[in-house]
Amino acid sequence: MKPYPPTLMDNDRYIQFTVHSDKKFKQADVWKAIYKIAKENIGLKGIADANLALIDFNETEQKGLIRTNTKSIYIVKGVTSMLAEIESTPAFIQTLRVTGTIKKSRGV
Amino acid sequence: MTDYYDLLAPDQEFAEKLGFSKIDVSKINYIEPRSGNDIKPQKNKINIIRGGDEKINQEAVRTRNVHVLLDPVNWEFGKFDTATANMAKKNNVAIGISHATFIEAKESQRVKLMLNLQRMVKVTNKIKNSIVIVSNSKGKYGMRAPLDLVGIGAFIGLTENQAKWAISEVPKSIFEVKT
Repeated sequence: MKPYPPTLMDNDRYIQFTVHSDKKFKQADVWKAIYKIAKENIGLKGIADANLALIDFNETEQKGLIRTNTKSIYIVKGVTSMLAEIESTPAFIQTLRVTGTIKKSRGV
Repeated sequence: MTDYYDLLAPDQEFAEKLGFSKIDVSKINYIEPRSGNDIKPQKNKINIIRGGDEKINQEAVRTRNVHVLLDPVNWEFGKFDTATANMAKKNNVAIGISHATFIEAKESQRVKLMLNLQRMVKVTNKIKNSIVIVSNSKGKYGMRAPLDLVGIGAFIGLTENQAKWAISEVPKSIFEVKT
């Protein structure tokens, strides 16, 4: 089977973010909160179009990486800005930078 | 590097940590009027009037020394006509959108709020009004970073550049001209 030609493939982008809160959260809790708010605001089709996924989350630094594509960067930023609580604790997500590769986002 | 400003940030120190430039909070006069008669702007201050009612909106854009009409539409009230937009343009009143209304609104209310804001943005784009995006939150955790506020613009029909302009150049021009 032939792979997709490059012109048909999505151009992935990785959004580095940090969680501000009094409490420290686990990766599963953060993804659950992001998925819930995304489903509320852009729906399942929006999530599929944005190719949304939580790639990585550092639980000690409370920093993580969201994957999306070039067309949906600002939609995803809007979605994450609407998040007001995680696990019933007041919290918010601040997006730090957008990169084209995972390697770059980790500063390697 | 672009300077970003949040006119209604509850915690200035935290706002600076998030990436906003420092502003003089004492110059800002925020009024939440119950009727048109309550709109009493102060001289030499940046007067921000919270709208959300037809009479308040019309009175705010007519009154002298009003600089920002915040939230002219909300989830209940969605009428923002070209007459109000034209008057706002004539009197140099910027139209404000607060991020807190999105967070405070429930799921069903948010749908109506987005629809009303999208319609309002269509009118403001036609008349070419200035738009300001502010956080206007009650606490520290209601605040958002500058480029996250830009993301809100994507939901209501603003382009990326328009949204960036709404948190950088428009508040800057309000500070420079009015004070």
